[in-house]
Parts: sequence; structure tokens; C-alpha cells
Amino acid sequence: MRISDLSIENFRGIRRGTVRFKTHTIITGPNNAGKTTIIEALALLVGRDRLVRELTEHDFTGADPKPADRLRLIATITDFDGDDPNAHLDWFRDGRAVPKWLDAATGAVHPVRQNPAWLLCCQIGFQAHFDRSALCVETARYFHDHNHPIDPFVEDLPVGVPAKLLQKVGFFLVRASRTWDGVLSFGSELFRRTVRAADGQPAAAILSERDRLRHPDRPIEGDPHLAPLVTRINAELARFLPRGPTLKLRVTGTDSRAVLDAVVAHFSPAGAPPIPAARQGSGLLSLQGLLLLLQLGRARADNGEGFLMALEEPELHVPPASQRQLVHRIQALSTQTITTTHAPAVAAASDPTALLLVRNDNGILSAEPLLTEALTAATPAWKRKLMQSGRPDVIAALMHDMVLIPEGRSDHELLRAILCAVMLRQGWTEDSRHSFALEVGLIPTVDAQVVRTYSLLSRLHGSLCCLVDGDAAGRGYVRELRTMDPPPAAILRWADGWTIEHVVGWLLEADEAGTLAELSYLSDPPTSVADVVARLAGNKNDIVLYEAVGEAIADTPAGALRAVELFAGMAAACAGEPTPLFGTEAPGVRVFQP
Amino acid sequence: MTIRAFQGAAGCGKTHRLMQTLMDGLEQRPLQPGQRILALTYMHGSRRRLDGRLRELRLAFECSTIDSLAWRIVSRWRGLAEHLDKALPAETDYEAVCAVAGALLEQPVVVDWVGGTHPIVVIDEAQDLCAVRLRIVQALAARLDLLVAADEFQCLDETLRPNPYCSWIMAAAEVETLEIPHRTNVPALLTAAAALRAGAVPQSQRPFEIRLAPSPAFAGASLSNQIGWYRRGGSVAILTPSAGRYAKGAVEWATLNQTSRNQGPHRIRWEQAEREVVAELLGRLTLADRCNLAEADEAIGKLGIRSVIAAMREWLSIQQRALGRQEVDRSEVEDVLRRVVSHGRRFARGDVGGLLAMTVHGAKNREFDGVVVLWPHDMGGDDEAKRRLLYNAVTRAKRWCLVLVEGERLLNRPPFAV
Repeated sequence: MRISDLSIENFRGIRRGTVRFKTHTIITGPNNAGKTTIIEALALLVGRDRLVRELTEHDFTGADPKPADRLRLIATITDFDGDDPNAHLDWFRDGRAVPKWLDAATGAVHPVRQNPAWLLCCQIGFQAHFDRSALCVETARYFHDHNHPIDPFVEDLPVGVPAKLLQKVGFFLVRASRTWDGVLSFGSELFRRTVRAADGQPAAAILSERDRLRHPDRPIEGDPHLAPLVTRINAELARFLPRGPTLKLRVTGTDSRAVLDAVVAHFSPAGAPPIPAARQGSGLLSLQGLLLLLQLGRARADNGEGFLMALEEPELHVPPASQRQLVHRIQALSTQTITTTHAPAVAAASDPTALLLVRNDNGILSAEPLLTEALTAATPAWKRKLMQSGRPDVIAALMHDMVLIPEGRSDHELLRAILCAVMLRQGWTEDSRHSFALEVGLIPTVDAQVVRTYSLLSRLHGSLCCLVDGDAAGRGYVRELRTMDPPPAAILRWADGWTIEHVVGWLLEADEAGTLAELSYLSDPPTSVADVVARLAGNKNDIVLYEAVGEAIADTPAGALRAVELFAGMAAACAGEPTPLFGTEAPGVRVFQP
Repeated sequence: MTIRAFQGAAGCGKTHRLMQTLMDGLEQRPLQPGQRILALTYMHGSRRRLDGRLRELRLAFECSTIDSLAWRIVSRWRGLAEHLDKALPAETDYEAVCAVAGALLEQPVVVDWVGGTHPIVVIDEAQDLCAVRLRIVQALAARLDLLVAADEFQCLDETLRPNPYCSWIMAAAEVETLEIPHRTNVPALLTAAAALRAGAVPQSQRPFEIRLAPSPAFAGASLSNQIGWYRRGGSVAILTPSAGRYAKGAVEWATLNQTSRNQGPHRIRWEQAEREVVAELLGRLTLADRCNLAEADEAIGKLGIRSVIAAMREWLSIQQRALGRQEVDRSEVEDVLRRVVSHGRRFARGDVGGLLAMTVHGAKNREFDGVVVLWPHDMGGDDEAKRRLLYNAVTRAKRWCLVLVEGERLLNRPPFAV
């Protein structure tokens, strides 16, 4: 069983949106795009009741729901073995769901299977409304039979989804705000469930420990320091209760329950005495919690039950080197995973067709896979390179409010080298209105494929800008880009005849003597700015030279100031705002004017 | 996939045989977890009685009318209905709902879906099924196990001649005939019933009597005396083919007066048909075409039946809380009233005992110790229909039956003469 589709209406920041899940989906996107809202929607639809917080007005888009406003969610569950409703009577029969068929290619759900590729599916609906007189939110979870509007709060209640059935989905949610301490103890429900699922109750050990605690070798009351006091108490007690009981001091309540409750997880580093879990760093705690969940997943899988893990930010408290491995482990032991992340490394490790980039345009959620088709040997080299080695950069760039696709690789590398150097030397204050680094993501374009890269990425972001050279080819790209649907949010072009190297020259010229002095340490020091420009143009992708130049600019105050101005100007031009550094050549086309 | 069908005269234990066969079958193939027997009838009255019988068996079952099953199928399979180009009828357009449900159930996926929960379908009083409802039964029988009982002669609907169910079942299955009467062993009642079935003249002999009672007052006094002398703590029903001036007058007389033989007055309650309840309540509803919620609430409060008032106030409150409405239309309130009454009767349970007056139709499938039949002039239908009506009325009785006839003329015609 797997959740294939989710549709959301009027839930928190999402007025409308659908999400299509793969078996192992990674969701990434800027803050407030709706990643957590997606996970919470799943919890409302298929989670155990306890998983669901009580809803309030704030859970409705706009936070002021009127009586007739509804929060609506629909989950489409697929992957029923054999796609035969009669083989899954616990899901599909009178009193349960009506069988329907999902066309995975389009997301459309049909009442009749007209194509063998369509999947048997069960749709579960959830609605909530705010009762303004009772000041509470009423909710209903039911089988979603057809797409005609139904109102479970006005009409006869549709058929509710039994909790027993949802247990089969096995939805487990690990929130970003998680506290794991105490998770490896019998006080933790997760631990108890895992032990139960794995049939691992340590009964014999617990009973023997109980007996040992009942009859200790050195009873506390027998300690020579305490014994006189105990004797006096016993004597006192005997005055009131002849043949009365005598005092014993025991470590636990001496029943198996108390022994279980007293168990505390310890970890022992090699050769060292064990240290209680609570005294470990949060990294280990985090790992132990997740590992425990995975054992539960494994036990459920062994029993043929589902294990749907929704995991927020697996990177939390986990060292970067382990993040990918952890995610792969979670995926291997679950029937389905839905993971949200802010870490480009985690996102980039995902199958690019299962990596969803979410964004929220005025309440309209979009969740598009990074690639709609897997990369194959037939994929053009530029695309493979962009999406393989460049993938972390692409993903990181797409998280920004604006994204800039430069014409070539050297634009990307040089701009990044300069930006990096300038930022490292900059203080905390940022005086210009636009911060290029915060607002604009830079795509590592390959082989001058600016047009194709744009058309590849335009599905994924609402504010894509392009940056081209001031030569004939660049003008050609401008013409081509302007005819695209939709055209880029802005097209930036270097000055006539200019390329990025000329721009770098212009930055160096802010203090020619100073920057050349900074570069004098090179084994073959340049003699002039023109020399540097020629070398940059001649040795494309000479990263050492790029970094040296970037540092030279950042280390000279006039150069650094000019670089900051350039980046602020580029950010403004991308945002479509006036800036003296970029004139307007045509609507949406901005030309650099030094 | 298998059909077990039973037929037999009234009181021959058809329902009993249905239950027995059901239990025998379940012994060999028990219900799986989550499965339930589906028991269907046409009318609510029969449904209530069948529900009571099934309850005694301590089985997992669901007892509903064919119409409410049809509505459930149609509303849940609306997507498929549209795919089949069927428009969604209104819930209260019963015939249309059944027609669409029939078309849906002819799809194997739908009947298998029903069968997933209800592997066995039990149907009583199948002779009352018109073609459109029979189609539902046929579709169920195509893939599920069917247990069905009927008696063609107890069908009171003249449009169902020849009887669609009987024509189908004779061809579709081996029908077992039950011949031994169980309801009563009173010879006079058995002979009268047999005569009516055979189109012969029923003989008036105690405790089955046919008497002339030419006025409502006369009839009222006769039934009052009969009840006083013969009731002996048993259940009594006053049945009439049509609750017109004669029957109403007779019952009213008996509730208000004492006879010269010191019998009565008796407390007799008219059991109203759903239609009559609705008509009466609609008459009581004083409401403008469009009104605010306070006005609607006040009008609803004057309807007089507590359960109806509560259900309708709940509806009104939902309109305000879940939809934010300030006003409602009278037509909406009327629709809700119809639905509330219909659902209310659907949930009502059994007879409360005492003296009940009702139509012969309303008494179908029920039994009483004593029956008084009020036979008026003003009734339609052909001779056959009249025979069937009287047969249905007489066979409700276990111990005695008194037939009071409004006119001499009637005694010379069927069903009292050939």
C-alpha cells in the first residue's frame, strides 16, 4: 500500500494544491512553502487519532473560517497487490471503499478500469469546519467515493474510515520538533510497540531481575549504618501491630511492571563504562530514535503490514556524512517514505524523479519533481552533468526567491568565487536593499545551454532569470528566451561585446594597482587588468585563478565596494526593479551599463 | 450464486423456514469477520418484523428496505453511474433510484462489492416487488446466495399481475412449497382462508364471523362488544381496506361510547401510514415561503411530535452552524420533514401492544390474536383484489376474526359471494 496522491484545499498556507508521491519521496523547498503542511495533511488523513492535534482556526487558510468554509483533504491509496478489489475485501466492500482506478500518468481517478496500467485505488477524504458557536473545529474522515461535492457536516455522514483499516497503512510521523530522550525505554509507546511487533518481550530476564530485586544479596535495610534506625522503627511498629510486618527497602516496586519502568538505556563506548542515553549528545539520541522506528518498520514488513514513514528533516543532529546513509536505510526498511529536508545533500541523494520541489504562490501549492523522467544513457551530456554533478547546486539555487541561469559555466564559477570572497570579508551589516546571496540562486549552467536549461527548469520555479553575454550569441539567446512560454522573469545581458571576464576586469579596475598587487603572489603575476581578463578568457574554469581574482577584488576596498554594487544591481534587475547598473533594452531585458 | 426459494399460504411459516435454511447454511459456511447477512423487504413494516426475527438468531445482519439499499448503492457509486450515463435521481424518487441501482448492480464489480460484506441475501414478501425492484434482486442473485420467500396471493398490487417475481423465480429456481399452517389451528379461520384463496365463498362460523353492520355506529358497537367478549388480554387489530368514513366512524364510536351490553369505550390508536403522518404534519406547519431561522424554529416547535421536532431542530441548527444561513425556504423545511418522518419510521421498532386500527396494507406480514375487519362500500379494485384484501386481513388472525360489512349489497358480491 502506498499513498500516491494528496490533494489539499484550504489547509493553513495552502489554498489549493496536489502532491504526487513516489515510493520514496523527498520534499524540499523554501521555508513556509508547505512541507510540514503536506505531512500534517497526511497525518489527518491516515494517522492514528492520537497523532492528530486538535485543529483550530489557524489551520484554515486565512485563519478566520466562515461557517460554510471547509478544509478539505483527499488521499489516494494505491499498490493493492494484484489490483483486484475482490482480493482486498477489507478495503473494498459495502461499508468500506468503492474501488476506483488511478491513471498514474495524469493523476486522474476513474470509476472503471479502461487501461491495464491504471491502479486500483481507495480514496480517503477529510473535512473540517469551524463551529462559531461552539468555538471548536469539527472533523470528519470518510471514504471519498466520487468527486461531487459532499458536505459531511450537513448531509448524512458518509461512510467513516475504521481505525483498524488505517493501522494497515502504518503511518508513522517523526516531526522536526522531536524529543528522543527516553525513547529506548518501556515508558515509550514506540519502544513497547516495537518490542511487541518484534515479539521481543524479555520476559525471562525481567522476571529474574524482579526476583533478584526482591531478595537482594545485600539488602539496603541491612546496611550497618542504616540497620539501627530500621531496628528502632520495627520495634516501634511492633508496639502498634503485634506480629506486624518489618521494614524492607527495595530498589523498585518488585513487580515486573516496575522493573520494566525502571529500565534506562545506556550506551557504552568501547571499553568504557556505560553512560545513560540522556547524557549522550543529541546526535546519538536522534539516531537511536530513528533506528528504533526502523526496527518497528522491519517487524511490520515481516508481518506483511505497511510502514509509511513521514520524516521531517532527517539531517537534524546527524553528521553530514551519515545523512545520506540514514535516509537510504529508512527507505530500505519502509514500504513508503515521505521525507522533508532543508539539506541539499539529502535532497541531492534522492532519485531526481522522486525529489519534489514545493513552492507556494499565493496559496497555490506546486510540488514538482526535479526531473519528470530518469536520466539515461540517451540523456544529452549537458543535462546529465547539470543534474548529476550539478544537482546539489541546482537544488540549492531553486530554494531562493529568484534563480539566475547564467549563459555558461564560467559565469557561475566566477560570480560564485567573487561572491564567496566578498561575503567572507563582509561584516554583519548589509546596507543595500537586495542581497544577491540570500535572494538569488545561481544555476551551474553547462555548455552554454542557457535556453534549454531555462526550459528544463521553468516548471520548477516562478522567478527564473537568465544572464547572457553581450555578443551575437547572447543576443540570439535573448531573442529565443523572449519567445518562450512563459518567458524568464528577467533576462540580464552583459554590455555590448562583454562577457563575464570583462565584468571581472571592470571590478578589478576599481583599484587596478591594488588588485594587481594582491595578485602578485601568483607564480606568473599578471601585468595589467587586460592581462587578467585575457588569462581568464583563455583558461576557462581555472578555479585557482578564479579564487585568486575573487580574493583580490574582495581584499581591495574599492573592488569590494564595486562587487557589492554589482551583486545588488543584479539582484534588483532580476527582481525587475530599477538600478543604474542595468538599463532596460526591451520589456524584461536588462543590459549591464558600467 | 445459489437460490433457495419458498412459497406458501399465509401463516405457513415461510419466514421461519427462511431463518432455518439460513442457519443451516451458516453452519456449513460461517460468516467471515466483517460479513453480515443482508435482509431485504419492500415495506418498512415487513422490515421491522424481519429485523425482529433475525435479532433472535444472534447473527451479524443488516435489515433494510430495498429502497434504502438502492439509495446507498446509487449515492456511493455515483461515479460509475455517471460513467454509465445515469443521472443521479433525488433520494425520494424511489423508483428512479431503484432503476439506477439495478443498472449498477448488473456490473459485477458492484454486486461483488455488496457481496464482500453480504455474501447471503434474504428477501421476504418478494411477491410485492415490481419489475424495477426485482431487477435489483435478480442482479444480486446472479453472484450472491439468495434466500427468498413469497406468496403470490398476498400481493395486493393489481399492477403486479402476472406477478413479476413469481414468473422469474419459477424459471430461475426450484421453489419449495410450504403447506402446513402454523399461525393458527382454528378450523374456521383455516377454512375461510382456503375458500378465499380458491375463489370460493368463506363460511361464517365461529370464531370466524361475517356480519352486517350498516352504519359506523352499528359497526362501532359490534367491534366494541367483540373486543370486550373475546379479547382476553390478547392483541387485537382493527383492519380495513380503506380508512374512510365508515372505518373512521366505527373506530371513533368505539372510542367514545359504551355499548348497551356495557362494553367500551376502548382506547384505539390509528396506526398511520407515513404518507398520512406527513400530510398531517404539513397541515400543522405554519410557515411563510421564506423565513428566518427563529420563525422556522417556532413553527417546528408546534409540530407536536417530540422526535420530529428534535430532528428538525438539529437540521436547523446545522444550517446555521455549518452553513451560516440566516433564512430557509418553506419547501426545504417540508422536504426535511418528509425525510425525518421516513427515517423516523425506519428506526421505529415493533408494535407496542394494545388496540390498533390500520389498513390491510399496513398489517401485511403481521399477526394478532384477534382481528376485526371493517369492510366499507367505498373501495375500488376488481374481485380478485377484494379477495386478496380479505384474505390478507383474515390470515392476520391467530384465534378469531370478525368481519363487519357496511351493506347488504356487499354480501352478495365477491369476496363474500361468488
